[in-house]
Amino acid sequence: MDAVSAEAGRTKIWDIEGREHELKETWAVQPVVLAFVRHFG
Amino acid sequence: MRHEVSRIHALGAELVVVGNGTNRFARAFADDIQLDTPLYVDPTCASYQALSLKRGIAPTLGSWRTWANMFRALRGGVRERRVAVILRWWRQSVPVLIPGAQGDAWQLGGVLIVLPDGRIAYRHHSTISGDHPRTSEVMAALAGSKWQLGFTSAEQQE
Repeated sequence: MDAVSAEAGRTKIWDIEGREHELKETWAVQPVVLAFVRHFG
Repeated sequence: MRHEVSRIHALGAELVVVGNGTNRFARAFADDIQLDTPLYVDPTCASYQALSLKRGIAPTLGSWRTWANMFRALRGGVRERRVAVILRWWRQSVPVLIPGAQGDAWQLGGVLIVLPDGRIAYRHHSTISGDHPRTSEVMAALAGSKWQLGFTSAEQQE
């Protein structure tokens, strides 16, 4: 099983309030189903 | 996947949606589909690129499978479904005309299951527009990942 690279984990994402987060925060406390959507259409 | 939120939570996991449009469209998107899970935006698409998700005109619109999927849906559905397919196609085409509005129209998505230690228990990278994984496949992988973590749903609830 491969793993998310440290670099990928550090990429920035923003919540809808505009607060910045690192991607790795999403799986820090529990397994996560990460759904990347094409766009908000 | 959003219809599986309860099951995902029961397995001790979370569903997180990442889109590449702006906050404004993210809010509208969440309201439209009554999304009740964490939603993030990445207008830079850096996270998409870091995870090697595909991007390009050809895979987005150029594949005959993209058009075949649409025409099959149009042929097979009842009238209301046909209208829904056409509307969906139109809404997905608008970002092509207005770059950056609802997101990067050429960026494809994907689904990953990531464990707390960073291991990837499942990944599906869309190869063409409309290429989504089967929900049952994702849920099976999630259930399997719990096994790999060494705890069960019942233990998680204690």
